[in-house]
Amino acid sequence: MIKTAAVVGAGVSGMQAALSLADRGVKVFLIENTSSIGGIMARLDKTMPTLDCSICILSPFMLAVARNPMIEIMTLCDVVGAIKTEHGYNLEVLKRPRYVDLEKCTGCRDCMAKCPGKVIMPFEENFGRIKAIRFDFDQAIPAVPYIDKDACLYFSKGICGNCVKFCQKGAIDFEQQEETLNLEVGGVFLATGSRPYLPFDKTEYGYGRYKNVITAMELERLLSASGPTSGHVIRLNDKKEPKKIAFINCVGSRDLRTNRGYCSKVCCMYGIKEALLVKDHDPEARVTIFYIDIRASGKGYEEFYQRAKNSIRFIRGRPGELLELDNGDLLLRYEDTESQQPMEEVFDMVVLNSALVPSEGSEQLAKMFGIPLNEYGFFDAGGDPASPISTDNDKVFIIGACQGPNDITDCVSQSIGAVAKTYSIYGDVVERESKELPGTDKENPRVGVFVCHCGKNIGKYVNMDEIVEYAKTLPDVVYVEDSLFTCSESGQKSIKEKIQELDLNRVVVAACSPKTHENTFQEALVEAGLNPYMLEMANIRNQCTWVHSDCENESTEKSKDLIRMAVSKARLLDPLFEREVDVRQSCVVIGGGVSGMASAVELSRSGFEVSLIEREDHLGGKSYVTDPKYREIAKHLIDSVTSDENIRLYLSSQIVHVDGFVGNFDLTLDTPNGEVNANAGTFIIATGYDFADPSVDGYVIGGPVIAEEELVRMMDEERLAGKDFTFILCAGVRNKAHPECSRVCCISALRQIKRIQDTVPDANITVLYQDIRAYGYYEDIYRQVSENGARFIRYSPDSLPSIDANSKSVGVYDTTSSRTLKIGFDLCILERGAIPSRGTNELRQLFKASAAPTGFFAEAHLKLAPLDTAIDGVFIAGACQYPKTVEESLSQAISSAGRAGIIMGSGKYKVQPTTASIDEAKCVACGLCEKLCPYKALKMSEDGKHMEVIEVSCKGCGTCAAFCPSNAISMKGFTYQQEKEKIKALLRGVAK
Amino acid sequence: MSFEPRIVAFLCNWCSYGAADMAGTSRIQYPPNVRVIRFMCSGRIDPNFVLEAFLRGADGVMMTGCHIGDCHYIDGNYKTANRYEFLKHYLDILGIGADRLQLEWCSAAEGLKFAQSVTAFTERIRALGPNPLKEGGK
Ligand code: FES
Repeated sequence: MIKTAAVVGAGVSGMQAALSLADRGVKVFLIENTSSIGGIMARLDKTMPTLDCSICILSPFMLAVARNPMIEIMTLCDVVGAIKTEHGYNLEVLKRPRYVDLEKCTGCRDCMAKCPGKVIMPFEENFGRIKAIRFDFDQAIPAVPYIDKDACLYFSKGICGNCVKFCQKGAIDFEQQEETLNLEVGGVFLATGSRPYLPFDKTEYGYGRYKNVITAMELERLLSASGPTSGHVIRLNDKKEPKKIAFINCVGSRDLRTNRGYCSKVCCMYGIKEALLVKDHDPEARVTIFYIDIRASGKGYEEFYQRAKNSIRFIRGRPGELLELDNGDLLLRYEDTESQQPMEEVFDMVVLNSALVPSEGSEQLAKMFGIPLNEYGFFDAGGDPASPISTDNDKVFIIGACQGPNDITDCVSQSIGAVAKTYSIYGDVVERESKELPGTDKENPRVGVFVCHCGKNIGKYVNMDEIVEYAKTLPDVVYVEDSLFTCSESGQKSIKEKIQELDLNRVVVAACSPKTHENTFQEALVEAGLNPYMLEMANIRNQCTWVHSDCENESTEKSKDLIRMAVSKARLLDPLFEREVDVRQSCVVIGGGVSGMASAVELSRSGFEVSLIEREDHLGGKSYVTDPKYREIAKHLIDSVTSDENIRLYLSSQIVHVDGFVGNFDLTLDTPNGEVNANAGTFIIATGYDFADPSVDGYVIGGPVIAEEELVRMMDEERLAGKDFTFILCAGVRNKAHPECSRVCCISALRQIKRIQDTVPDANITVLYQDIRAYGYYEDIYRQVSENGARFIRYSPDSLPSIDANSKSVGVYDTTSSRTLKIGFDLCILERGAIPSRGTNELRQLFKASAAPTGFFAEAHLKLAPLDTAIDGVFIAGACQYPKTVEESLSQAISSAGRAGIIMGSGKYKVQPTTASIDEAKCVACGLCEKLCPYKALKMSEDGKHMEVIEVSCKGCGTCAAFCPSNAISMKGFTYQQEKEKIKALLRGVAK
Repeated sequence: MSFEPRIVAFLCNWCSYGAADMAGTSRIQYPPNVRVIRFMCSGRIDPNFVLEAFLRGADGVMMTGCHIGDCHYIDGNYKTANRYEFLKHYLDILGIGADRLQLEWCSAAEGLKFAQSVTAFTERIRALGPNPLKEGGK
């Protein structure tokens, strides 16, 4: 067994897989072909539907990858060869030169300032900002630029060499050569993602020829505060702000002409997102989106779309062509499908929401690892819904958007699931090695101050001698040193030596940002036997010399202040320790549908004890009522669950009480045999959904009007009669009571239609719909059933179809032909939407977990922690989060089991040390903190006299401390005293 | 001597500290009057810290955090926003003046915005003159 893995592609899927593998104790080579980890998400401005700043949420994630000792980041690398071995693979990796030494470079960017630059990228060229030595984006990791050989004057003409001259660390190395590396790995995870298609071949839109036609990804760069225009949307030809902007959806997708029949899944939503951002930047801009269907299929997406309708014009229709006018404006010709009129309109700028297509190199990788490609060139997982990430090759997994366009949420959850599936390769999760941190003598502070010149980045802008002399006068400072680069090896060595030589017990480093370098210096402390929390940094570079470059006196004074502040806090620092709590090796799964069963089976397979709780007297959930295919899966799962000794089954049972925290939950069950007490290390909630009541939309089930499950039953029992079938979609949802889209009903309806078409050849099928949300490859079924004659009629939510069961007809206003139609039927099938299952609220309150506005369970973070709740150790799987297809539910169930398995397998849960703590003497037990804490980390003590901190649950935000009326809460690492001292030091000598 | 305001800025570790760092990597210049104190979340900004700063002679105080919805601890910044309103009242009552306190949301990509808000705030405080609690203050 080789406990190593190669993860190919360091986008969000690859990074998540790497982190999960590292958590299992597997050494990971994270192989990325660009210069930085981060993938597409790092290049986005905002994420939808929450409009979170993309890089804000991704940066901490990227840092976690970079800091993880089990992960080796290999940028500018490609896998060029693979030989299968007994234990896995031998990979040949080609490493291209960066021409900048990763060890030496400090990321100061002096070289970039001096690089004469040369523009090469077709898009950013218009802003003249591309340098030959550069970062792909500001927050790149590694934070070391690379040299683009094609753009560099040294390589093309043998001149310039400015970067070499100006680099103070001698980090530029033109001599670097390509290298071939060999890696021996147990498993390979392909996470090569997809890439935005550049629509040059859609000549009717003039991309590449017309200056003011750009792709959505390019607009994203314009919108980004760190993009080439610092967040200003301007036209490329005259740099004016566009006032009238059109977005065209589905450019290069749902389009057989370009051989891309699939739907790209995410473009509708990113189009809406960007449209809203444009409005946000310039409220006067008028924005129009041209669409075929708006596929708002994801949590919160429909509500997002509805909100957008207030300020954005939506026109249904695919524009036929664009013409560029003399002043750069664009004449757009289209047919409005609602009015069926040919129309023309002039826009200042046109944005193409282009498809996502397979990443370059997919074909080679597919060949290398023997993975089939589907007809569109994406990796094909083989379509077994029970194993969405495995391939026939049991050492290779394919995750994320390399299987087809996908959004961040699903990519993340899939990556975790893939890792959960690796028991056969890597065996059990290993117990995490816990490094014991050294303690430190708290008395008699002896502070050492290390001031960094950062080459000239600090040194040049301040009077360093003055700073050093000043630092020596500060209380308890016993040693001050300045060095060219404190972070360099010699710099760190000196810190270590001085700690030992002079018995320092506090260290202040005055240099750059703790966000990038705290870890480095903490390690130096540990190596010298000091507790890592005895470090305080003064950021005199990013927040002083770099931003006050032309006022040496002021910068010097400010640096002195910052150092004084740091020393004042350092004197009061306490050693902190990372505690660990033991974790019980058992999981309670709530809900016996396919999600819950799949989680249970997966956990049991990994050796954990599982209790599966179902409130009905049978297993299977809703899978019984939908598709025969799913019933098979359910049956199979029921067999596995009932024959599994590791799984204890509680039917007709419910949880009535939960207490405790991750690793150590206690619970009480109400079972037919009375109350049962149990305990658990983790929970998985998989309580699914209920059908919406169609009567709120005026539809009444009865006679020839049936729900989908009745149709399925009829087909199963071969008693389907008649040939006129009318489907009504969105029954009971997308209305005031339930504004959300249920996402899966369109797809389910399309499947039933296909089944009818297969069995009743002369069937007349009519579908009344609002939007057909056949995202991803489901578009293929949509196309098939339409080609087979199913008729699609679009109704407006303002005038719902009216069913007359007696005359077996339905009246509907067709928004496409603008006529009211009367359609006769033998059977009218209602596609009921999904709503939170009954009891969701009570369950939520038991766990103190939060709900989304729609009433479904809320995840800790929609994009990056889709399986977690805000409560550690409590995970969600399946449709209790929002409606999902069975395939999606299964995939998530496996992933959640993986998350729970990692915590339980390692046997320990690490508690981060900067938690709150309570001074019991001061606490008046008012309970305010308990109400404020989003993580439920505070509770009343048993005797009711004071509050207690559940350290395992505390994340250290400090909100409770800020609010505590009796000042009884202290934040470790940011105590009241420490911070007050800092404020005092800052303002020393000011108030007279 | 002309009046150089002393400004204390409380930043959350994630977005706003990231923005301040980015202002640095992008070399965006702003007046050197501000000194930063970092917390994990803007929710940690105890009103006592703000008052302490004013009582000790700060001429202005900035509270910054992630944009609403972006807080890394779910909703710490909502609480900060409420506290800000309350503190402004309080500062008026104390005679320090609500305009000496400023709340700003900055994402980690908004280095420019951070620099601009610091600049604007510094100018505002310069115009307001010294903290009235100080000698020489109005
Ligand atoms: S973490 Fe930035 S405001 Fe809470």
